[in-house]
Amino acid sequence: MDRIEESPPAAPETGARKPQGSQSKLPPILLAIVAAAVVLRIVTGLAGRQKAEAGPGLVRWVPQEKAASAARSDARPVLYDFTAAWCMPCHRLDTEGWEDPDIAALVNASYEPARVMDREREDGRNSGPVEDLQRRYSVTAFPTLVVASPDGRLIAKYEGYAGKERLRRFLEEARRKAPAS
Amino acid sequence: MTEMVRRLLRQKLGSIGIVIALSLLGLLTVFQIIAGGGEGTLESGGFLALLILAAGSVSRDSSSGALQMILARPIRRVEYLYGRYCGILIAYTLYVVTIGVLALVLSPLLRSMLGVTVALSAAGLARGVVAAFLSAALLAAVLLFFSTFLRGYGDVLAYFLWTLLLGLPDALARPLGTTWLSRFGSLARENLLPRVSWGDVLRGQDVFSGAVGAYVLAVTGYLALAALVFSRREFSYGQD
Repeated sequence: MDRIEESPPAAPETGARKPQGSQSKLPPILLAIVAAAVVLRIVTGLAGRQKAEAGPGLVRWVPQEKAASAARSDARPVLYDFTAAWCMPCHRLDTEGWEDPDIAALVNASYEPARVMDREREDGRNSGPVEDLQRRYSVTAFPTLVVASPDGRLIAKYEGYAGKERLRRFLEEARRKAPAS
Repeated sequence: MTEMVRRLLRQKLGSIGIVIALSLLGLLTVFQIIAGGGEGTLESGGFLALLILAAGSVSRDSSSGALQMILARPIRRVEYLYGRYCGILIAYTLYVVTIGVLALVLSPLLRSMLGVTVALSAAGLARGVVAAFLSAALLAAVLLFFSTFLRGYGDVLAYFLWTLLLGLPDALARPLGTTWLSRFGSLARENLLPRVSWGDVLRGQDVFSGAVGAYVLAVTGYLALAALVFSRREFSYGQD
C-alpha cells in the first residue's frame, strides 16, 4: 500500500499523521462570519420578542395582567383574545382579522384588548393567571374572544373564527351590549 | 475548491445506483407536485435526495484513502471540506431545478390525465426551488459536520439520532410536568435544528425573524465546527 509522507512524518506505531500546520489552519474570515451570525441571531431574537410582545396586527394590545385595571380607569370593556401558537384559525384571525384597519380601529376605540396565550400543549400547563381567566370564562376552544366589563362580568363570547364580517358583527354587538361609560 | 466540487459531482453522479435512485425519487416528486402538492413538495421531496447526495461525503473519502492522497497536495483542509459542501449543494440544486422544470413541462399533459384542475405557477415553483435549496443548506451542513468524525454512513444515522435527541426533552416534559424541560427542548430545537417557513420568508413575510437568525447561525455554526474538527483530525492510512 502506498504511504504518503508529510512533515512531520507519521508515527509508525499508530499509522496516523498529524495535521500539517499551514494545511489545517482555519481562515480568520471564518471566525468573522460566525461572529456576524451570532450578532444576527441576537438582533433577530430581540426583534422577534418585541414583535411578539406587541401582538399581531394593527390592534394596540395591552398586557393581559394590566387589561382589567386599564379597563377600570378608562371605563371600557376588556376584549380577551384566547389564543394558542398551534391553533391555525388563531393565525387566520391574527393575519386577517387583526390586520384589518377597520376592525383594528373599532377594537382600539372601544376595548382594552389583551391576548391570553395558551401554553398547555407546549409546557404541560398554563400559568396561574391564564388558567384563572380560562376557567372564569369557560374557554374550551381556540380562538375564543371574550368581552368582559371592567369588573370582570362576561358580556359576550365568540368561539372560532368565521371571517372578518362575522368578527366585525360580534365586536359591534358586544360594544352595544357593554354598559355605557 | 473547484476541483473538490468536480470530484464530488463525479463521485455521486458517476454512480449508476445513485442516478437511478435520484431519477425515481425525482419522478415521484414531479407527480406529487402536479397532483396538487404544490411548491412545498419540492422541499419535502428533496429531503431523501439530499441524504443520498450528502451521505458519507467526507468519511467515504477518508476510509478509501482518497482523502490522504488529496491532502498530500498543497490544499487547505477547509478548502477540501467546503468544496465537498458546495458540491453537495450544486448537485442538489441541479436535482431540484430539473424537477421543477420537468413539473412545469409535464404539467399540462399530466394534469388532464390525473384530473387536476389547479395549474402550476412558474413563480411558485421558483420559490419552491429556493426554499428547497435553503433547507438543504442546513441539512448538508449537519451531515458534513457528522461526516468529519464518523465512519461510513454514520453521518445519516447521527442526523436522525440528533433530531430524536432534540425532541426528547419535549417528550419527557409532558409526563413529568416540567415546564423548564420543555422550554429547554424548544430552545435547543429552535437553535440547533431551526425550521424556517421559507414560503413566507420568500413572500417577504418575517424576513428578519428569530427563526431566520437561528438558521443562519446554525448553518455557519455547523460549518465552522466541521472545519474545526476536520482540521484537528489525524488520519490513518486506510484503517477506517
